Amino acid sequence: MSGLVEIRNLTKVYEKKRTALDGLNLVIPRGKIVGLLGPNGSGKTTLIKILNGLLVPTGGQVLINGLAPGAQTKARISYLPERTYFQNSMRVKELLEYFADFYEDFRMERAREMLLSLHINENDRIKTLSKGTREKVQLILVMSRDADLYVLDEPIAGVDPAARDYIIKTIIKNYNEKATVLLSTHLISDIENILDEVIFIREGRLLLQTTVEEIREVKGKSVDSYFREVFAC
Amino acid sequence: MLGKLLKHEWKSIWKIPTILLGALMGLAVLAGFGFASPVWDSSLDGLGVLAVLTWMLFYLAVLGVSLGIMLYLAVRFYRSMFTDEGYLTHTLPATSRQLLLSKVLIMAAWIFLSMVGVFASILIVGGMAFFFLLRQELSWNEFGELLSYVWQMIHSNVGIQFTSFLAGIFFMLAAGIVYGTMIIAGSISIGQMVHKHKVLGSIGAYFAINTVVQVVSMVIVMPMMFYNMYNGTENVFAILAPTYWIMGALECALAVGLYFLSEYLIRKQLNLD
Repeated sequence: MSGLVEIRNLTKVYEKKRTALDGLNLVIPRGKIVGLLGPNGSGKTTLIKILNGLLVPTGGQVLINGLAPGAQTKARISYLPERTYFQNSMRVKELLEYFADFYEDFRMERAREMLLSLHINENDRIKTLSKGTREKVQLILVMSRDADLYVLDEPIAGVDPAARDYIIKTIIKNYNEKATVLLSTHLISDIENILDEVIFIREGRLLLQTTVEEIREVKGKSVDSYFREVFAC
Repeated sequence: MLGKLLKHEWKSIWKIPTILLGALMGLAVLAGFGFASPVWDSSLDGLGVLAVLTWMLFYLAVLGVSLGIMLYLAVRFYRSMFTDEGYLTHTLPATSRQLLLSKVLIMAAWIFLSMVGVFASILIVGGMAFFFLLRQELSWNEFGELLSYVWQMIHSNVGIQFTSFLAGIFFMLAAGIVYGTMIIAGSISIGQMVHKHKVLGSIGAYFAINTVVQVVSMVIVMPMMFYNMYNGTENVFAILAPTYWIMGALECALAVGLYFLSEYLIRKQLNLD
């Protein structure tokens, strides 16, 4: 079976000749939760931005469901960036309407249920919410879609352990099992139990792509320990 | 998709310009009522200066509201396209063309509405000033007749050029809306190429484009005006009318160029921090 995402010889060079991705080749399978792991500056966020059409690669090719990033792929990718992207004057319910209008796969009932369980009032304006609550609202919007690919960039960074647990539960509970979740994080120990596969990248190149099971059985280590060993300074 | 984008763009923008235009209308009514004061019937010294000051203050308010709306539109365009909000804007299932079109169409609509608002506020102040100051000396019918007389005088003296002059003004106003929109969108899109100083880059691009337009229009218009004057054309409308058409055409051409440049930059050079 072909992968959901196929990346061929992908290169991204920023200004001043800084290479973020250097001929990356990768196939991301369907129906898996995949950890995209690497040290700071390894090219994770650049790759994620290219998948979402937020950056244009310098060279190479990216195909999602056989299509280059564009309006059609954006309709099937649900993306959680590492920053909040709301217009502060909007109310939560306006954001729900916004997502329902633009994304055919948005499930309003699911979003409302999650908001209710977190006691977030739909009439609240974004600017009145705490940073943590804004991040939760954003996660709820992203996970309320029945997308083919969920791309979550640092979803548990900067939140307390209780919120981390909630976020991880939300991801597991709400993702469509035929879909793939691509999850980038530094907090490996917190999420390794939910991962099926991991991708290690360093300096914009693929270092390793394997299953979590293999790391545990063959290497005899947790993903976190193995990551520390591979990327030891 | 374009319809949805237009709807949400309108929803995200309408409040502030509406408040600003509402405030201008309120101020126009207040200024108009100012002319109802008995002070205008007195024989106090300096009434003329007071009237000029009132008009100047009103002019400043008009300027403030117009600039305020333009600035707000520019900030909203920048924030929704090139800051954190851009992460949502550019991951919507829409093409770069649809995104840009929705932004510039709503911007153009608001620039048009602010022009209408400014014109309406001037009519309100002028109408109320007339009502309170001249109503004892001039009836509405007489006022209408006076306007009609002035119009006929101008038309019979300058002939067909006046119609062409008016059409030129309307064309230039329409071109001004399109150009005003695209210089905002274009400057901000160009400014994004200066990665570390995007806002400064946008401001720099704005002034650079405006300077080029001024120089080009002077190069085109000045020889024409000198030619007309040299040939003894005394009719000011005959001199100005073609100028307005040329300026309008220049602005339209530049707006089209800036649109395609912006679209290219958003499609091919987008680089959100």
